[in-house]
Amino acid sequence: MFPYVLRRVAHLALVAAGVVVVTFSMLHLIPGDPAHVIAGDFATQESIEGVRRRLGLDQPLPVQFARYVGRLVRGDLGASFRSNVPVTRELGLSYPISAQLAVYSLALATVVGVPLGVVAAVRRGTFADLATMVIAMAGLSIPSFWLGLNLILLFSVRLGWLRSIWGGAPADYILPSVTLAMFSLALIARQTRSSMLEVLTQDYIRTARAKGLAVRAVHYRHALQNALVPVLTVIGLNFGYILGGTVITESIFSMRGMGTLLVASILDRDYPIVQAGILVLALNFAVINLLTDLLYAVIDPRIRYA
Amino acid sequence: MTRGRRWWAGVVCAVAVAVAAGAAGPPPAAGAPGRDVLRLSVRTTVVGLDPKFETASTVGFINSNVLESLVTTDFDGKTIQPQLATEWRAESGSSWVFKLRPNVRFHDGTPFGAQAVKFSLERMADAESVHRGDFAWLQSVEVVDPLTVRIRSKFPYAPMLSALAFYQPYIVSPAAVQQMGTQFGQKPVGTGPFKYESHVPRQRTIMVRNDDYWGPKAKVSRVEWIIVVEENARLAALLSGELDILTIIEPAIMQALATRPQFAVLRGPDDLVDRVGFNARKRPFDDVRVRRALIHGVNRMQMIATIFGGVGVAYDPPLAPGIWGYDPQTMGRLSYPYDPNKARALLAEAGFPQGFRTTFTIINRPDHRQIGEVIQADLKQIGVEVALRALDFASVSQSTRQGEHDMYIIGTYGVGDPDRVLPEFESANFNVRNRNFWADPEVDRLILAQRQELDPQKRLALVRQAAAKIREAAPEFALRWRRAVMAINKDVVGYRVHPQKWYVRDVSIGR
Repeated sequence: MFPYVLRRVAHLALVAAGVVVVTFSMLHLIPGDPAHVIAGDFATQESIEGVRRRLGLDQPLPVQFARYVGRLVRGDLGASFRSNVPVTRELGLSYPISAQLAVYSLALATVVGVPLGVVAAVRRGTFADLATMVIAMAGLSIPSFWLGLNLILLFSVRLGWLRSIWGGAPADYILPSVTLAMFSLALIARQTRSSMLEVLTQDYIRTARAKGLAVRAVHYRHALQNALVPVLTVIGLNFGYILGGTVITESIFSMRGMGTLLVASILDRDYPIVQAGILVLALNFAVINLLTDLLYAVIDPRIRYA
Repeated sequence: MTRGRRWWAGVVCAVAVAVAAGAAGPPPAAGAPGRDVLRLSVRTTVVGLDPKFETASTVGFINSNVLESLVTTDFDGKTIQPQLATEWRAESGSSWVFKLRPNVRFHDGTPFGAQAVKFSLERMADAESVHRGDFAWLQSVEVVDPLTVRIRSKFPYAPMLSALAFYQPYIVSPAAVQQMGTQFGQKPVGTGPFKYESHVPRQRTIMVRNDDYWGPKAKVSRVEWIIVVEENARLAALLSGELDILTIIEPAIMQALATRPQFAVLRGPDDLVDRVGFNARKRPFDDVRVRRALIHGVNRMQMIATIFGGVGVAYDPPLAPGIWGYDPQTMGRLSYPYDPNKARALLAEAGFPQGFRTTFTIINRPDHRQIGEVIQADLKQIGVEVALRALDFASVSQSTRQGEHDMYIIGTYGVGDPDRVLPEFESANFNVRNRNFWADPEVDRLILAQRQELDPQKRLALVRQAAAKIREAAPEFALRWRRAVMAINKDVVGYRVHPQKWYVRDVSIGR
């Protein structure tokens, strides 16, 4: 297992290098000059040149790239073009918000979604199955802005229990997490149901029943554990997506997560933030994938890595 | 079935626990007696606050509570009022002397005086400043004595007071700038009734009362400016009591609040206009008949009544009704009112009886798309097929600057000195502020002459002559001069809409 992990970590470095090159090139290929954005629409050519000099954008591209990489390998991500604030602080403000959102909403989605899926599979064709699949369908189809705004209307405006504007308190995460959880919950419930159904038809389940084990033990100890591998994939992927920023949910609840930060920075052509932000997200995705793969082996002893 | 039922009960319990946990969170402070914190929502992202590096009006508006300038404008956006200068006089056309307010201190404790004025204004005009172009007139700032400065311009400059009253040339603490360096924009230090406490870029900005303020003290002890981009979320937060004032709202919110007695909608003159320009360097917009035809083809009255919710008035550029020099007698009636028949006739006369195809460059955001679609539909009626070209702001700015566009939409100024808008019609400003690429030697001469004419009556005549010529040539048309519309909780008392500043000093909360 150890050599496998080492190899995968080496891959991470390759991914990082690729992301650095691609992000830099794409940012400089798309039209729109950061100096224009900063100096404003009415700026004179002289003002724009002044901003370019200040930000080092007057240098040839290879020089800019070399400087960027040089700073990067020393761990210096630079400062935002717009705010002059170090990129580490800008990301440091946004990343924990997205990370907490990802953890809370996926925990909620898993805790509710997996049992829903199991019940639906075990009681296939009954009312419980139908109800679960209706919930799952709703979770997939209801747009997050609709759900989020209605939660605000109910819990903030009508009942006055929770704030609609995120302020950093633990309770402020409840509504956005529920909003985000609905979609993942639906995916997890559906995935759990279908892989449970597949497992339940296997010979060993019949054997387990035949030797007189309690139905519940068969379902939860024998079937569920084996059905969890594809569910884990869904959870891992969703985790990456939510970490990458959920622009709509963030904007409804006025949270400055990764999505808000990156979209604003792309529109502002704030190169240092975009470059660092995308690098962090790409590495996140890669690490989560790695962890998911390793978890497979924990859940399913038949999976081994060499 | 018992197991199933027990399981469902578990889910219900979990949800109940989650909800109860939420209820334990901090309660919204709506209507709490003696509340001392004012919360306003800002719709656009606020990143930095240093006036030297920011062009966004929102930043200037927020700063107006913390930073002050030599002079400011009254609530009409036109009348000059003293602020850090108490009196001033022109020694000649290009030399003004300002007497400064005594016994004023910056928030960091250092004294305000002539040296700080010199430092701040020169800083706005230096090579790194994004406002260098706006201060091209500035020759020098001289310290006459600790409370007197002399400002010289490179040429007689009539709009100087207006330029100094804008929301950018604020006087900042030199000591704080030197100490904080590039981080000054996170917590600018000035002389205003509030001082910055904290600023989280792209999230919220918090200011607290300056108890040593030289003038009437602020009534609330703390003001929070919160960025809420989503329009429905802003409305919900106002209704739930989490926000007291929504700055600049959409018509939909006005309608939603109309039936709720706890909330009011405030209006005032706005510094913004929505205009559509033609690229007069490109065919067929080099023909004035085509430009006029297209203006006749757009039903602006209906546009204002529908998508703008009745807010704003159409006018003929360059002078919006809030700008000095506007004359309701001669400018009150639109030169090119909605008249599709006349539009078709003009197009035929110009050699386009079947109309033509063109593009309309807009910023890719909902209000522009809506405007674009209405204009597209209107112009289709006169045979002009418009394709919308929706780009992000950075691309629109660059593309129109280089003259790649046919038609484009711009928002510029609607109050104050006419010289804030006239540069958009000067040939010297092609590729910069002149994106119509239309110019006329006589108009160039008139604009330059009014800029240097210090006699108000003579200047007024020059401004109106230039305006008449521009109106005739129609290089652009205005959809509307906006009204600043804000939503407010009626618990909040004393807020007045100002077109260029969001002053909250005299605002109090109470029942």
